[in-house]
Amino acid sequence: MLSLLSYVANGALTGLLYALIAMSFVIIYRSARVFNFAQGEIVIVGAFLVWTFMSAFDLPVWVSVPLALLSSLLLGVLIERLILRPLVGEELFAFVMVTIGLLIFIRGVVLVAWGPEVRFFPAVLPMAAVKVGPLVFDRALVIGAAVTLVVAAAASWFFNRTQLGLEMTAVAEDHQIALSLGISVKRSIAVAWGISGLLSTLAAIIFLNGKGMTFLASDIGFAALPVALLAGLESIGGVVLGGLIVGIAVGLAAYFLDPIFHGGVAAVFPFVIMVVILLIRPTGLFGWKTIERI
Amino acid sequence: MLLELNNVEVVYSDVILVLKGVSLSVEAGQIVALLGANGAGKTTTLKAISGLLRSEDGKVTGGSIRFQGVPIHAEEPQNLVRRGLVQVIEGRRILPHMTVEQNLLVGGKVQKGRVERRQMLDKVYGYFPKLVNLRARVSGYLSGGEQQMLVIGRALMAGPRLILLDEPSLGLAPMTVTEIFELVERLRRQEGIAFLVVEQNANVALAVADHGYVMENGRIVLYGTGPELRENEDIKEFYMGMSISGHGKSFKDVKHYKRRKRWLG
Amino acid sequence: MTLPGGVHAETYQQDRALIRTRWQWLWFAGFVAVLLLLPFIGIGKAVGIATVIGITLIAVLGLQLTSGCAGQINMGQSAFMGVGAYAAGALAANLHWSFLLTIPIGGISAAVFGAVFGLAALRIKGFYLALTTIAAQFIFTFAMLKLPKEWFGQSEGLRLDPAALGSFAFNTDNRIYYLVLAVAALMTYGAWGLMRSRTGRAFIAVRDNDNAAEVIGINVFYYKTLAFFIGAFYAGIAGALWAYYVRYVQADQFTLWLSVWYLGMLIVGGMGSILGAIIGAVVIRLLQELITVAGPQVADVLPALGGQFVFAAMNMLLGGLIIVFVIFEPRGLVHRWNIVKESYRIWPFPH
Repeated sequence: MLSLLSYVANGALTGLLYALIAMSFVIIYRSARVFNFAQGEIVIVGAFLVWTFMSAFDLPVWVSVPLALLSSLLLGVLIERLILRPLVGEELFAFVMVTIGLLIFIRGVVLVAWGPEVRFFPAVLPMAAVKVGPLVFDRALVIGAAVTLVVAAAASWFFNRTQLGLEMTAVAEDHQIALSLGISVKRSIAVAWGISGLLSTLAAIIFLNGKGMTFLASDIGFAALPVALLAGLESIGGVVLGGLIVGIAVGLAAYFLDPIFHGGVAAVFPFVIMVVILLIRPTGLFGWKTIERI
Repeated sequence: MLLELNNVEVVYSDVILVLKGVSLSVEAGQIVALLGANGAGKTTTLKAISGLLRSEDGKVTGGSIRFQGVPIHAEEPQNLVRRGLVQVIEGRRILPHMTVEQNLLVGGKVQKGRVERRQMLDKVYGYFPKLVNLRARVSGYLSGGEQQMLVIGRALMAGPRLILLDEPSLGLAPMTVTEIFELVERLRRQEGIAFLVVEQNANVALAVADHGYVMENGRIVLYGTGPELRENEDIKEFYMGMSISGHGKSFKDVKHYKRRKRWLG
Repeated sequence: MTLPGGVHAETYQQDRALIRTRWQWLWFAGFVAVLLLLPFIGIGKAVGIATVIGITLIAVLGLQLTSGCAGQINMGQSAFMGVGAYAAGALAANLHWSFLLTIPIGGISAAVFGAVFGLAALRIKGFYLALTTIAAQFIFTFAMLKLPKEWFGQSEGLRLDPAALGSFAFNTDNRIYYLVLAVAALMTYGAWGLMRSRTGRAFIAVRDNDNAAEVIGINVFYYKTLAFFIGAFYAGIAGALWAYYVRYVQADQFTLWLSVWYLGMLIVGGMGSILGAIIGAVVIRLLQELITVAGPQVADVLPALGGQFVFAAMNMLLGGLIIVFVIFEPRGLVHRWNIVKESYRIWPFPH
């Protein structure tokens, strides 16, 4: 019973971490209507940046982390400017392919720049486990869950209450109307890519805190995918709920099904839930329903 | 002169010539109607003015467009909105997943600050009291008439000198259309806003317009004051569906449509 | 298709013919001769590379039909290929069925698995669909590693005997090459015929606007399912051939990355055209081989990069190519090729 509870609680925490990455997908999608397949690679670039500043250059935490966050923000803006902007107005397939191309390209660059060896990601956050009653948690995950909730609340407020956020939401709705109202669509999209890059690095710090990593850690991008889709690609609040649903379901699945299948359920189960939910609601639980015209 | 188009040519995708030399002008505080059949180039004319043409792969290749005396054919839309020129795109294009008030606030993008934006919002609610009760409603669920008021209100939020209004009557009940044109007239009177209105419904548009232009095949083919155009027999026949002799339109009349158009000479 | 001056179709059959002029016959005959004689004239690994290109081509042709023609973005082609490989492999390894049966069954099994996603495509669209097909990959890998060991061998995979007809076994590189060549030729011809048929036109209608296609009487549900069914069938055939070529099937051979490479081949070759699929598969595969050969030598010069250089370089090359092509030449190499061909034909005139 106790271990079941622990599975569920840890699942929920992991789900919230995925939600943080899913949010970096959603923020780009909301303004540019582009799903960035390369998000996982941006996470890993952020992670290597933190590692470089802290472990290779020996800079203190309070310098390295802001520096890495700033660099990843710039990386996001740069990608938008160089690769996405020439494609404005193109068809869906162009965006799928260009972000996939980006994914492969960055992976090559990461290998050349940082090599294939296992690096130890510095312990930016405290490592000691958190004990709640009889349950034991990874402290980074607990902090991560809190960060996710705070970021989600802030993003929700930003997109619904502030002028810039409303303008970015308008860009998400309809590029032409946004233009006609005097909003710079280009700037909104660039801001979205920047925020998204920043969130990716934040997620990397929580995810990899004190662990060994290689370039393959970018697979977290694909792990977060079901959360983003299940929630619907437009909804910030939905992502948090989607993260909790996926996390808890995976916890339960791992508890009940892993003994039968000898492990591995956690990797595939989110995708199963995702497909089932998309078949019922094709734009996710909280996504914008599209009104199609002929 | 607030707006002046001189011999404007527009080409889409570098090959399709859509406007073949359009000249028209709007003075401050005037309501000007732009009439014509589908495909005559009315919407293209509005988009050439507002700069939205470029997002659709169109280009102004000849002539000049001046707003308050300054050439604007290469200006970004956001700069034009800031200078007081807003287009209301046809088809009641609200931002469907945002609330009424959020729609309006987005329209107030060019206002200096929060305070000015709020003042503007109150003013818009003054003109559209119906929207006050709907302020928290998701706009995708409004009725057609309410959505049309919302998009006009949203344009108003920018504090414009000139609004380019594209087909406000599209798919609306006659009562609602009358209501909207009364509002346009009031906004002109009380706020001094000029309107360039594209309309299929010539009757309502000419009732409030100071003067009007008729377009055909990418050219202006007829010009006159509102009352003049209302009395013009061709206009009566082709846009109001009335025959000269007074009785209903017959198939034969329609068949001779092209030939009878006097302005085509 | 424009024709050289002086060539006119006088009958409908002539108009439909793929090869129209004497020169085209000559080129075609020469091409076929080179392919047939490759084992005798090819040097080094040429036959092996050609075999892999043939298998890749079949999978890419299938993807061209699903994504290029019918517009349904499919990121699960490698998983579909894996299903074909496993189905054929399991029947061959466990029940010792003939390859004449196992290869088509491999194709059909993959087609059925693929059609499930075709059903989903009716409701799920755009990015959501592209991402849903990724689920195929995860479900495939999980299933193959977890289903009973007697079926698919779990992590140990399956080992196959060579394909055999009576006492004749396809157990050398040259023999398997001819098998692959024959199947690839057949599949290419099939794809060409399909593109020019009623079905091909329906696919294009569904791609361009599925709502409008529905209105003009095209059964969108049927054609979307069919697009996935046929595309996955091609993948399954490719997978089954792969199983007989390497005679070993394991889930790790069919990764998401492979699907991505296939999509990359489409972009570089040209979307929506059979010739584009061929050009893409050949060009990218040859580039891969080039890097594999050249990589270690470069690594000798720059030892800091180590053995991973080959992998890294391949990624940068393919990623870079995809980005460049999407931005600067979205119609792919086949478009370039057509321009060159046209200007040659009308030389020295510019138009």
